Parts: sequence; C-alpha cells; structure tokens
Amino acid sequence: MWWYVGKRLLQTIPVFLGATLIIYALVFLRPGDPILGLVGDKPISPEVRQALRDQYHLDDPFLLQWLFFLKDVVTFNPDFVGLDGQPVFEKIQNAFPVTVTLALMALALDAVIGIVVGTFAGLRRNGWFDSATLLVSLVLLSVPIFVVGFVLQLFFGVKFGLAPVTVGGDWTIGKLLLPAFVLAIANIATTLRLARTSVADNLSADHVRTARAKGLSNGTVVRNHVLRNSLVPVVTYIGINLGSLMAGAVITEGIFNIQGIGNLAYQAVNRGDAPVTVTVVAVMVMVYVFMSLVVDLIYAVLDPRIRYV
Amino acid sequence: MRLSRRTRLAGVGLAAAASLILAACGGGDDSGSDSNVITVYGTNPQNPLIPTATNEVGGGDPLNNLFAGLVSYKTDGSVENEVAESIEPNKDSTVWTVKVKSGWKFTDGEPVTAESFVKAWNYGANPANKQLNNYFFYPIKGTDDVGNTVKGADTVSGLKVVDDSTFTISLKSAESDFPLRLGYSAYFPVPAKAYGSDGKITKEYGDKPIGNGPYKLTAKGWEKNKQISMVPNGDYNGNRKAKNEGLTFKFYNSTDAAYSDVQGGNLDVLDQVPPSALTTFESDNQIKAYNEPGSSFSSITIPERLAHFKGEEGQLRRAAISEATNREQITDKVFNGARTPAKDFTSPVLDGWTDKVEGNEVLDFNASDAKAKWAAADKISKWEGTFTIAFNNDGAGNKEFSEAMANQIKKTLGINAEAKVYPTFDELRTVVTDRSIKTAFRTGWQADYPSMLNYLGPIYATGAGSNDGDYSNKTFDKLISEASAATGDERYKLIGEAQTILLKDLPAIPLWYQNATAVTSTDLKGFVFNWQQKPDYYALSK
Repeated sequence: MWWYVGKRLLQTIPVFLGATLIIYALVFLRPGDPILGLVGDKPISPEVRQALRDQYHLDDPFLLQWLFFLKDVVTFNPDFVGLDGQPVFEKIQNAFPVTVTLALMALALDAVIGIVVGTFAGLRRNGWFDSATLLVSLVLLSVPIFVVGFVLQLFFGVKFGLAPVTVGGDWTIGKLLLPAFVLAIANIATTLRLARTSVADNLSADHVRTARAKGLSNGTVVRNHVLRNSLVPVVTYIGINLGSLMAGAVITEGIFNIQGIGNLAYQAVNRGDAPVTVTVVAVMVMVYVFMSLVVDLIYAVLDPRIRYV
Repeated sequence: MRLSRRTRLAGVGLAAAASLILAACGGGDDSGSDSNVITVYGTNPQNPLIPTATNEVGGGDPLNNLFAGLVSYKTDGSVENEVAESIEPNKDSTVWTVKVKSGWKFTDGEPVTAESFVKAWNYGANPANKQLNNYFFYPIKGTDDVGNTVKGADTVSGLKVVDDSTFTISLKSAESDFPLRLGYSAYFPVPAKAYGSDGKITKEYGDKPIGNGPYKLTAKGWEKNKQISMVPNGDYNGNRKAKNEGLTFKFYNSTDAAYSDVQGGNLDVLDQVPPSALTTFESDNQIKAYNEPGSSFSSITIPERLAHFKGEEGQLRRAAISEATNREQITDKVFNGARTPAKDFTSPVLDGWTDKVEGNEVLDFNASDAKAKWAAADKISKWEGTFTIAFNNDGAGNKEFSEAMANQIKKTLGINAEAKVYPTFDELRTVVTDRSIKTAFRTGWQADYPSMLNYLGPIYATGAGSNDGDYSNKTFDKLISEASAATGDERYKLIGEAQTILLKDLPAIPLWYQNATAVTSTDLKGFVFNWQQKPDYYALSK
C-alpha cells in the first residue's frame, strides 16, 4: 500500500505543473492592465506604470512569467508578493486554516446528517419519512445557497441574536457553525439522496437476502451487510466534496465575512493579481488530489475486495 | 412499532443536530459595545501604509487618522493650519513659504521638521520609487505633467528647505488656493526612521507606520485581512483631538455583511450602504441612517475622436444625448434615490457651488429638443451605426444605469443604442488609457481636495492627466488658470464661465452626484459627513 501511496504522491508533480500552467495562461489572457486597477480614477505616470509592470513581469511572455512563478513557489521565496506588496505565502497561511475548518465542519455535518437521515429513509423506502425527506431535500437543492445564507443570517443573527451575524478575523468553531451549516446544505441533500438510494438497493441485494436466510438479526444485517456496502458511493461523493466545499465557500465567506481562501481568490481574480490567483488555485488543486487519494484508501477499508499493491 | 421507533430516532437525531448548531452559535458577540472604542467599516489596504503609496480608501482612511499634514480639513471642506504655523504666498501665488510649528513629534519621539515633509514629497515624486500618488506633485516646479521628478531626479527642484522649520514650494503657475491641496494624505510627513539603508521606505514601515496624527497603531496594529486598531495619540495637540478611546477598522469582503453587522450591533459605522439595502435603510429602526448629496461626480465621456462627434456636429449630438437622458428617472428607479441628478460638473458640497450655471438646461430631460438637435446634426452628416456606452460591471448599479440610459436614448432619439460590458474596472481603464476604446464610456471623479477647480482642471484642461476624452478648449484653459490665481467672487464667476463652455461642448455628459449614505449603530454620536463623504472619525463617540 505504501508503494501505491508513493506513486500517487509522485503523480501530484505533473498535476501541479499542468494546473498552474493552464491557470497562468488564463490569467495571462485576461484583458486589462492590473496596474491601472490599482491606480483607480487617478492618472498614473507612464514611468511608474512601466516600473510596476516590470516588477511583476507583466510584459514577459507567459511561459517566462510562469517560470518566475515556479521559481518563487519552489524556493518558498518570502519576497514573492501579490499586487498589494504583501507576501503570497503569508496570505495563504492566514486564509487557509479558517477555510479548511469551515469545509471540514461542513463535511462533518454533511456526512452525519446525510448518512443518518438517508439510511433511515432508505430502510423504509416510500414510507412517509422517506417521502418527507425527499421533499425537503428537493427544496434544499433548489434554493440557491446565498438565499439560505442571507435568510439564516437575518433570522438567527440579526433578529434573534442566536448566532453571531458575521465571523470576521477572530474566528472560532462556534462562530463558524452557522456558515458551515449553510455551506453544507446543498451537499446534505445530495448525500442524503445518495445514501437513501444506495441503502434501498442493497436491501434487496442477493447477499443481504442470504444473510437474512442465515437467520441473522435485522440490526446485524443492516450494520454489517447493508450499510457498509452502501457507503462506498457516499464516501466518494463526500470526499470529493471537500475540494468543492473549499472552492465553493466564496459565497458563504462573503455573506458571513470570513477572511478565507475563497475570498482571497475572488479578490485576486477581480484585481488580475496573477501571483495570488495561481497560488490559491494550485493549493486547491493539491487539496483535490490528496482528497481523492484519501477516498481511494478508505475504499479498501469499506470494501474488502479492493486492495492496493 | 418498528416504524415509530425509527422515526422517533430520526427525529431525535435531527433535533440534536439543530440544537448543537444553535447552542454553539450563541454567545459569540465580543465586540465590547460598552467601551468607547468605535468599530468602523474598512477593507484590507491594497498598498503599504505609506502616505505617497496609498491611493484607495482601505488604506487612506486609517492613514488620515494616523498622520497630520500641514493643514487639516474642517467638516465643510475649508482648511485650517495643523502642523503648519503659516503658509504664505508671494505676490503672484507662485512661491509659498511654509513655517512648521515647533513641538510636533512623531509617535517615536522624532520631531516633525521641514525635512520630514520635503524628503517624503521628493520620495513620492521620484518615479523610481513607484509611488502611486506621485501625480499629486505635478503643480510643483521640477516635476513633469504627471508628477515625476524631471528626468527621474532624486529631488524636486521646486522644494527648498530653508531651515529646520521653514521650506518653500515653487509652483509652475499661480495657484491662490494651493494650501487646499496640502491636507491630502500624499502630502503627509514621514519620519527619518522610515527610510532603510538603501534610501527606500522599508516594508516594516509600510506595515506599521509611525505618524504624527490623532491616533497611533496599537501593538497589534494592522492585522492582515482582519483589522487595523488604533488608540488616541497622547502627544497629539492638533485640530482633531479624539473624542473616543480608539478606532478599529474591521475588514469586510462585502458591504452586505457589514450592513448585517450594524443591524446586529457588531459594527458602529458603515460609510456606504449596499445597493441591496438602499430601499429599506432609511426606515430600519435597528440603525441610524444618513443620506445626503456627496462629493463624487459621475459622467459619460464621449471623445471627439469618435465618428460623428467632432466639431459642431459633435456638440449637437452630445447635447441631444444629454437631453435624451432622464436623470431623475434613473436616480430614482435604478439608484433608489442614492444619487442626485447633476446640475454642473462639480459637486454641491463645495464652496461656491450653484445650481444656476448658465447653460445647464442641457442637463434636463427634453425629448423634443433632443430630437431637434439630433436632426440638425444629421443634416451635417447622417448618423449611422449604434451609440454605445461602455461600463465596468464590477461597480454596483453600473450595468443597470448604462442599460437604462441606452434605452432612454434609443426611445427618445429613435437610434440604436446599447450598453457594452467590461467585466472589471481595470479592463475599462486600460482601453480608455490606451485610447483604444471606440465608444462612449463611464467616467467618475472623486476630488483630491475640496475645490471646484479640482473637478475641472485635472479632467478637462488641455493635456491634463485625467483628460480621457482629449478635450481641448483654449478659452476654457485660460479661464481655469485665471480662476486659479483669483480669489473670492471673481474666482467663482470665472469658474461659472468655464463651466458654461463645458456645458456647450459637453466633453463629458454630467449624470449625477453620488449621495453620501451611511448607517451607524443607534448609540453612536457625532456622525457628520465631511466633504469626502466620510465621517470625521475623531469626533465619533458612544
């Protein structure tokens, strides 16, 4: 298995190179001069504009810009700065923990609520509880996240004062609970439906009928034979979600004023800040890669037929 | 029976999850609303906190509280000496002698001298230092049109230190209201400690500036992406003594979140109301609301170089477009009353402003006259094609107003008109600055110092830095330079005449003044807009 893990980790190198190259090309193709964005309505002297363009290598061919970027990233250059003159690594270091915490909390809510409710619904397919959860999940899936976010913020935060209105720079787990719930909502609905269908399918599978025929108790059958098998697709979905939860946090971070990765990326893209944009996206790509590795490893635990050599 | 047990379990699970969320969410409010520290809306500064480098409000608001310049602005925009003992002109207002008061100190104890100012300005004007504010130095001798020191010299020849407390400023041309400029942050002094061994202002200083203003940074100071906190500077003895126990600029990603925080009592001041709240903020009883005409001016620039917009034909067509635009309707429907229709090219908050500038009836909606003027222009040369207004989509309301205006023009003049989107501000500025844009485009101006001339000279004078439409009119130039040298009523008369010329030529079509809007917590006292649409932070208290 370690050989397999090593192989997968080595694969991240070409993924990193390819992803950053593509993103750099996209940022390069973005029209407009980011220096003029810095300047605003006021005039800027051509000399200063040129000096700043030179500082950020904006006039070099994009392959060369990309190589400069790689050099800064690989050597962890502390002078590798964004358009605002702040070190990029420091920015990411500051923004990363809150976004990871938020995504993990959302993931936990997603997994717990989704699997528990989905399993109950699946065990009693077409019962009233099943129908009710289907209806609720349909509603959750169809309401955009910013509507849920603003409404919950208004009621829990502003009107009743049960939760902090925004998170801000001093974040704590408690402050992040409401945003994590908002972030998880759409995913909960999907996880729930996935778990429900999977459990319902497995209930009528051959090996479950055999287990029942052996005279095993209902609880044992459900725990050992239905649930475990049903979790493979659910785990895949949840695992891959960590990446999308982190990337998809832009809206939630905006509503609850969380100074995280999503917000950093959004501002950097808006300003044409290539160093920050590409580094943030590269970090996200790495998160995806590692999560899919973790998911693959969990398969082996859930399904004894899967073995890595 | 089994069914009921399961459903009960599921119900318990859901209830448990929900109560967990609620329980942990409560009690997170730590803003300490009892103390007299005021929390105000801010954004993470986009430049180092150096006076000549900071050109946006995220850094500008903190800087204005950390530094004191030669003069300070009163709420109404007039100036009074702060660090300056006196600022005296020679006979024709081309050379100004500045005497610095003794006793002023930076918070590290270094005295503020003539050198503290001159060295900082020389630094800002030298293009090698890449300071975004270098254009502010263009009136001074020894700089070129855009404020660079001539030939990249280290110093500006028009600045001379006479002794520790005296220096002189020689201007390129007479300017009777020059001291009005000197309260802007680009002119603040910088202590000797700021410069590193290579002569550049250090990164450490940009992160933790040492100033001479009403406030100083706390030990934590600027916490990146979180907040800037400052406390009153005990040594400060100027015009803006703090009436509170400190300021915290809390950073936000969006004004929507900040607005919710004011409603929830976690933020004291938000100095711009988000578009989503414009219809409701004045009737919201959880907050105090402020809404009045402000100092920022919006227009559409139609350069002469566009086909059909030259000479007399161009004059007629611009006037027709101006009269085809129903400003009241747009400020009302699109901006919910958060804009005020323009009556001139400046701003109603300024000294000498009047809504009776001769010729400003061209700014009123008049469909029949618009049609007549357009038809007259068609006789000179037949119109063809589409009239296009370019806007940047990252500013609130830009899309809506551009489309509404295009529709009004289409309806009134019976021509094709459309709004063209540029996703970001810098994309639009790039094509405007490089002169590659082939359409009319949105323009705006926020003054650097409270004078009507600052709305006219930098934008419409021949060859001026922000003259995006390359407008040139010799009579206008002459009136502006005469007005610069004149004082009192004579000055306002000349400015009026200059504006009448602009109203005839319409190098830009005035649209509206942006209102200053703000919300504060209900217990906040002392909130008044100054001429920059900002509160006087030092005067706030709870």
